[in-house]
Amino acid sequence: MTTEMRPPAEDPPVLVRAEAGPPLGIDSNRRRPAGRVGGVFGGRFEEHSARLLRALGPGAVLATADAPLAVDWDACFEVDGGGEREIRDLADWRRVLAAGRLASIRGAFSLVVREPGGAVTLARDGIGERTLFYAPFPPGLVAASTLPAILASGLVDRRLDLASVARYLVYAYVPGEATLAEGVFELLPGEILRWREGELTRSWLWQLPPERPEGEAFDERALTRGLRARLERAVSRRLPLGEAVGATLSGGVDSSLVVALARGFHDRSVFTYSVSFGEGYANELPWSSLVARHCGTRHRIVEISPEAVVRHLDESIALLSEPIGDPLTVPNALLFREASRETGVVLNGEGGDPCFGGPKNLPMLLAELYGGPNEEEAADPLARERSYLRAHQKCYDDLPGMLAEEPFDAIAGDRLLREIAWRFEDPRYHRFVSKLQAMNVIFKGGHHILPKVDAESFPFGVLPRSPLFDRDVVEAAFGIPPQLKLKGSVEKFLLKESIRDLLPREILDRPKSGMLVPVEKWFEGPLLPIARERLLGGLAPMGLIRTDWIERLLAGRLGGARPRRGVKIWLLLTLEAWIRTVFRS
Amino acid sequence: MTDAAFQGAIDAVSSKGKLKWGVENLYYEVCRRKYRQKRLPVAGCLVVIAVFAGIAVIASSQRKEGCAIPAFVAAAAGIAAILAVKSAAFQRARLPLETFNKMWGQWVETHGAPPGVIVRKKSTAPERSKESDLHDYSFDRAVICDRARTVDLLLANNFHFENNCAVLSIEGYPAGPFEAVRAMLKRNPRLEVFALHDATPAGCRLAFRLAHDPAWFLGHVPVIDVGLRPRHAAPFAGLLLAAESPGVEATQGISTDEARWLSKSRLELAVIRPEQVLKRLFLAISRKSGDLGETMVTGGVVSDESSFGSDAGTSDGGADSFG
Repeated sequence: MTTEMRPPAEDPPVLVRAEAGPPLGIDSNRRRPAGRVGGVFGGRFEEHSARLLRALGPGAVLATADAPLAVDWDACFEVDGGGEREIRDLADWRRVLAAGRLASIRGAFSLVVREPGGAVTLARDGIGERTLFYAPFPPGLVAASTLPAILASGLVDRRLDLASVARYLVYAYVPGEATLAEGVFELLPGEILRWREGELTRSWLWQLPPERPEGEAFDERALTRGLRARLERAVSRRLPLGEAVGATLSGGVDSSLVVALARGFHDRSVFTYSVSFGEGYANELPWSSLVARHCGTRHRIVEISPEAVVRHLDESIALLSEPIGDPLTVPNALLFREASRETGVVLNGEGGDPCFGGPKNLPMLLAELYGGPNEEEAADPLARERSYLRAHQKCYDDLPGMLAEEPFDAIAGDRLLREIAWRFEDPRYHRFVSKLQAMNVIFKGGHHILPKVDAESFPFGVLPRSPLFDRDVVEAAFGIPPQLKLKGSVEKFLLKESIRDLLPREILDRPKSGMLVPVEKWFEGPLLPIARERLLGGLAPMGLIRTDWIERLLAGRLGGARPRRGVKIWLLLTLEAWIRTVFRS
Repeated sequence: MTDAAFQGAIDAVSSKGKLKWGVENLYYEVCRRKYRQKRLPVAGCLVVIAVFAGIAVIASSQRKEGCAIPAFVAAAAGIAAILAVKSAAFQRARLPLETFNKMWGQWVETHGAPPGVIVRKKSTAPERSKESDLHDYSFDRAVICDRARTVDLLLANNFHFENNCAVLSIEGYPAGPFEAVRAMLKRNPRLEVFALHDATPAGCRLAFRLAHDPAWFLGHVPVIDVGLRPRHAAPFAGLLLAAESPGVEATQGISTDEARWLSKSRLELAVIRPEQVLKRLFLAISRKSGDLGETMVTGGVVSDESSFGSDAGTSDGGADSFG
């Protein structure tokens, strides 16, 4: 590929106001080529199967005795030695499965296979771009792409998993195989689950690669070139043939490099979308506009008002199989809505931070170096795990004061710490930072970002694609020696070196900043009434969070140096909406 | 001081149990409360007298009688009230340290040590296994203090953890990670360094020393002096300590005016409640570098006069990033 950019497009950035509108997706004429999947196994359950199918939405397919294979997939390639071949249809999948070559597939997929003898195999792609939920029920098994569908089938009693409520409050998503519904589990990224007459066996089609051996010599230039080649391949795999492509653009290095590569390779228009929250709120628009001009994309600034957020809050949350407390859920949905008018594929820059060592790790390093000044803390065997949960900067330290008695008992005995302790002893990773990197990729990728973009784009028939979570890019990331991940103070050093020619220096050199959703201001102003109504009137009666804590939160009386009131209110608002719209509907 | 009042002081320094704090913070909190306790009753009496006298003035004038006497009484009471409040008897006086230590000792004996009080770790070696790969990394910023107890306050409240910020004292505390962390700091050419200290000769020379020492930041990055300096002392009248030695010289970053002040008085950072220290320090590290302006750079030291000034708003820093 040459590094010359095509001549810039003529049109200046377009401001799009994402208004409060009709229900999400109701006027969309796009449909994903592959829909959701599922199945009910272990007997004839026609009524339940019908409900499951309906709940999975348009284009859904169930695996049955007559049609045993159902796959939800996108941008998949079978990689074989030097070459690769795109997966085009179910016949290709049958061939791959018959040859036992599932592990060679790159791309997003989840599949359900019903074998002739009645056994069932479920599989999820290695990074977790698609997912599957399952629930054993005597005598059978129900599986589906979404948790609401499993609940809708009627085969599982609806009981809230209280430990998962606590997990959600700590992480702002629900990691691991547990879900908010008791008895319903999620496949892990890369997992193959086989069910046969009530017995479950697990294996892996792929796992995160081990770290680079200590002291191994490396050639910086070769590594840079190798990473560049994989990034180019990752983007090329995700460009839609003969159609315009879209990309979210924040102005940070990650999304910018994806846009630059897309523009370099694609022979059709590249639409870029940046989010603004309106005048009076901080934004990164100058940076994203700079990149859009530099790359010559057709740029749209999507302005999202608090009113639009309120109007579409419930719907956006109802799309999620598990609550995700990231305030970008609703803006993402609105952004996909606008993008769907122009394109059916939207790229993003997600994955750059967990894979290439963003700032998340540094607090953990500090905790590791310093320990604690108090005697008791120094003797705490779970101190690392505790630091890790604290590093998410959500509600870990609030739990004792915040949780009602039952959920608090559900996590007694440091349960949340013990369940991640093994990750700090993972024998594949000797270096502390490698362990953190693995945890970040697994958690952030498969449980937060990827489910979020998949769910929020689905009603519009749009396909989200994440080149920086490409399996080959992730493998390259784990092969980078620590000296090249953070050189001096430059984070993601090697990543930046590999695409240095593509972007203006200001973008490469600017300090990292997060996507700023103005939750603090929203809940001091326009969104406070709805917060009060839903938290006091909706959440408090659910008996999960103590009412006095909610009142202190709303009144700004939580105390401490960094109370993070806005973030926590949003977290609880999402929880309330999810339980009401998904769990209790 | 009553038990309830003492508990109230503990609640104040700990922000109702949310923060960790040092005994030195409690000392100044108790001083503040004793002053309030003394001042109110007497001032109250004088105000009552003035009010009655004022009523008498109004009553006399309405009856068209001479109001000279009541007016005189009102004026005298008013002036006496002002003089009394300003007089030495009512100046915030620090409690003698031994008195406080007795109160504290008694409290601990009766109620046990309060849960949030910082107790310094005895051992100096790091408790954890040494992870060799940590040293390849660096941090965005560092706060260097003159005193170990300030370092303890920040670490105990996870300031380092929450703000991606190394915290060290110039004297080498905490000993375990000190050398490793200082070496890591050198790896960041865009490190932001903040000096946080008492208003004492050593404290006021801290930023200068850091900026001129090759073992620290000479030729590397500027040092931002956040305080405390004599100019920050105004709200803390009555809580000053006497200077340890009278002849302070205007050298190593200390101006002539400051030297004069420092020859008479000392002000400890501990006068400020932990919650305020943390919030204001957070404000200081969040300032965009442009805010401080070019005018205050002198020999590697930049002055941040307002983060610990009395007019500083305390905010969480505006819009929150997520993730």
